[in-house]
Amino acid sequence: MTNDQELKKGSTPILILAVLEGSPRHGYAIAREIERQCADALKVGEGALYPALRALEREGMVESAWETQPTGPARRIYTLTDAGHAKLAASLRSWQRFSSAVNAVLGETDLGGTPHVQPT
Amino acid sequence: MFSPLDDPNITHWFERLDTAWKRMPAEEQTRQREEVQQHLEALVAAHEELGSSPEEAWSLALVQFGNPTKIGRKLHQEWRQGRVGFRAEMAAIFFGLEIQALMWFVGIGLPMLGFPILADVLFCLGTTQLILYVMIGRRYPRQAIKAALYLDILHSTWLLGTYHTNISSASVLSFFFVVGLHVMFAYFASVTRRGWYKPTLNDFKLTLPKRRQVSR
Repeated sequence: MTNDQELKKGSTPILILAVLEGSPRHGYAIAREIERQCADALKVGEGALYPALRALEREGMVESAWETQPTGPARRIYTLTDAGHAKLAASLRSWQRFSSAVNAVLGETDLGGTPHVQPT
Repeated sequence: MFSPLDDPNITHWFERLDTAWKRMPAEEQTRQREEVQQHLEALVAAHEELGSSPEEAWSLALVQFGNPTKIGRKLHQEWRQGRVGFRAEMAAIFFGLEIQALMWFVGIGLPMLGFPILADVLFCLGTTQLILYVMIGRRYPRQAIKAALYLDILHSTWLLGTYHTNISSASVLSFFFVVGLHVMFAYFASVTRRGWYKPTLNDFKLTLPKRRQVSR
């Protein structure tokens, strides 16, 4: 698995939670919203969304219900639960700490990948 | 005119998906399949809007959706992890037996304290609880275990409240018997999920399963 794939796999659940914080959506709408907010930089595998949604549902972060639509068949709509809101807030704080730390280290690294080491 | 049902690539794609999750219950497969199909149809519509032919749009949509075998397997894995199954049923049955024992002990003690009607109500509850928890535990194991935790606490309190004025060797033995049942129930409840189950505050939030609204 490439670095990009690993990062995407790890961040899919949090992206889903972030999108659902806005409003309840069905699977396709979640995928499109992630694409829109990331300006196409992060294309989450469309099918990979569903196992992630099942996992979030099992953990109680998200709940789903089949809802009738004005046109067409019923669709499964996902909603963020209170636990999901809390998880999202905690994950955002962790991500901010982590990315600050990584940026601090990467900022010390030159383009060749050699960290600047202060002479002792 | 192009029909997705006649296209061998599309039918083969769905066959791979069905094969990957074939051990899921039929009802779960149907729900999941419907969701996947709706997603694919939305992707197809989007590609057609961009100018693709129906055949091209389906081909692009299937590639964009991903490997059906991998997706089907992951969905099956998630379903398995969510399915508490046999152990939850054992926990529910075990708890039901425990509640019956509690009801009998409390029911014996309460009339002596002057609450015969309440004792009768508890006897009835104890008898039906076994059935209720087997039925609930099968379909909603998380809710069944949550309810069991609450009732365990409540009935333990009643038991202590009953026996503190009526201590005898029989009541002491029965108290330890019930404590033993509590411990064994906790063991069953803890192994119903992968690894040891660590209760969290969320487990004590009683949430009723939402009624599924489906109308076409």
